[in-house]
Amino acid sequence: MDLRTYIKLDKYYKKSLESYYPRNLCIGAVGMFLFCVFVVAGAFGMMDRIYVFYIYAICFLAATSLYFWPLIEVRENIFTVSLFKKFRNAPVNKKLFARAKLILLIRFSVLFYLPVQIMHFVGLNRTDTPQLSITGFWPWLLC
Amino acid sequence: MQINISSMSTLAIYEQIVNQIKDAIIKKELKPGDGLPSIRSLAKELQISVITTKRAYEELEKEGLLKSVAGKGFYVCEYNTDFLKEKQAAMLENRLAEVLKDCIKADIQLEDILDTVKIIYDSLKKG
Amino acid sequence: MEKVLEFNHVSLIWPDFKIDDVTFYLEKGYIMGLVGYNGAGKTTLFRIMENRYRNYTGEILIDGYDCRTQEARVKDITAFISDDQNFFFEESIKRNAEIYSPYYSRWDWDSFYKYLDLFEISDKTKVKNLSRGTFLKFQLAFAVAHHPVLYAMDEPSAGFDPVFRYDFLRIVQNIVAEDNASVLFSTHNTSDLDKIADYITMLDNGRVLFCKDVETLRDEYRLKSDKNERFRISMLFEKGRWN
Repeated sequence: MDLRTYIKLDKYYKKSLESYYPRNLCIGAVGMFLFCVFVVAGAFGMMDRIYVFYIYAICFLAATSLYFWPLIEVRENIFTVSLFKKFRNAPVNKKLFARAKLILLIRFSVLFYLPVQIMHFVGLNRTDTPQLSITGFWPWLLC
Repeated sequence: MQINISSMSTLAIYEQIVNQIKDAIIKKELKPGDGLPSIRSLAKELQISVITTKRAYEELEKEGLLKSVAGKGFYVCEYNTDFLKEKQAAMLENRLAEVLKDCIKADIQLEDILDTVKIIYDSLKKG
Repeated sequence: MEKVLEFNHVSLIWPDFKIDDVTFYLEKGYIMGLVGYNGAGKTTLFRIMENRYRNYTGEILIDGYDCRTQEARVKDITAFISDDQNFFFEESIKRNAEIYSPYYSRWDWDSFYKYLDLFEISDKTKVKNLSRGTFLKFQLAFAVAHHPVLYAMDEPSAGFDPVFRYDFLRIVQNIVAEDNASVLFSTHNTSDLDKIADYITMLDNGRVLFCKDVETLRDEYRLKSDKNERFRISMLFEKGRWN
């Protein structure tokens, strides 16, 4: 089995984990969605109303588990230690297995995380309260 | 052919199997060319190890009663009539000894036994 | 003679347990019982085979593949069955099979369902909800499905009711016959061994006391013993009678 197959199997496995997804991701998914809405709103310069910001903060907290999706992936990959445990006696090439997860992690980061950060950056530059950004420390580096 | 393993017997399991197959051959229940159950199926049926059934079959093969055909299993050899006759005689002797033992226990005298034997033999020959 | 399992001078010293120069082998197509008192090292041997403990000296080969360096290959052809196997406990049996099956080179859904049906287990049950006995049955069905060359079972029948224990032995014999598989299993239930074991390996304090076939053990017993009792494997545990 080559790396591509391992990637495919990992995606398939994640997509349909019945217990993990509903319980852990529902809240996160909803929060994430709202959060993204606000990020986009921010990009359009709408973040200065305080109540909007509060909602943004709540959504962020709810989405925390998902926002740091790469970290979720990392967390999952730390659970990969536990995941490794689950595959302990399966005929898995551990190197390829881990590598597949890493690739998916990077891919997600690039495809999702980066655009969100960019929009966020744009939004921060259009708001009067950039220091209230709780999504990242890097805005300070640029201001 | 039914093989029964007795847990009471002083004979080892493989010896019991050997004896029962020998009897079956002598009694013509197993004819030359007949195939025996595979060592595995026999083991499963008797709830014993294949090592034991294999040993029994190999013992019989050594005595010239069975031959193993590669890939197919064990088959009954062409009869070695002398051997069979010997075996038959031995078997009959044993049975006779059993009867005589009982007679002696019942305190029947040798002349009476011989008389009875003659009577029964004659009637069997006639009928 | 093909060896399906070979332990070659395996040693592992740990504060809690010790395995000392364990050497024995199992030929293909046979069933070996691993016996010994509690703490003799039986479970440790299985764990070493599973590669849970890696810093041992010596080597273990399964069908010629090294357990330590060719782990994936070994696990494709070996089924480990014990109480502490890992599965996705929150998921259903079916889901578990769907997750793991792609990694096996010889997965066969028909066999899987044939045995699930035989054991009367529903594939929708969550693994965490299986009783100990049913969990082991599930593992057996799962094992048969990937057609391993070796079944390594650590005390499989301990959780079975007497009725199923009988079936279990017959099932194991069938699997060995049909698939030409081999079985290594540890048990305290020596009557199981009387019925199906071809070879017995006895461990004591991490050492192999002996590894012999049942006929040899029987002959040795008859030579040593003055009684004319039928040899039973439980007799190996009578102190003073055996070395």
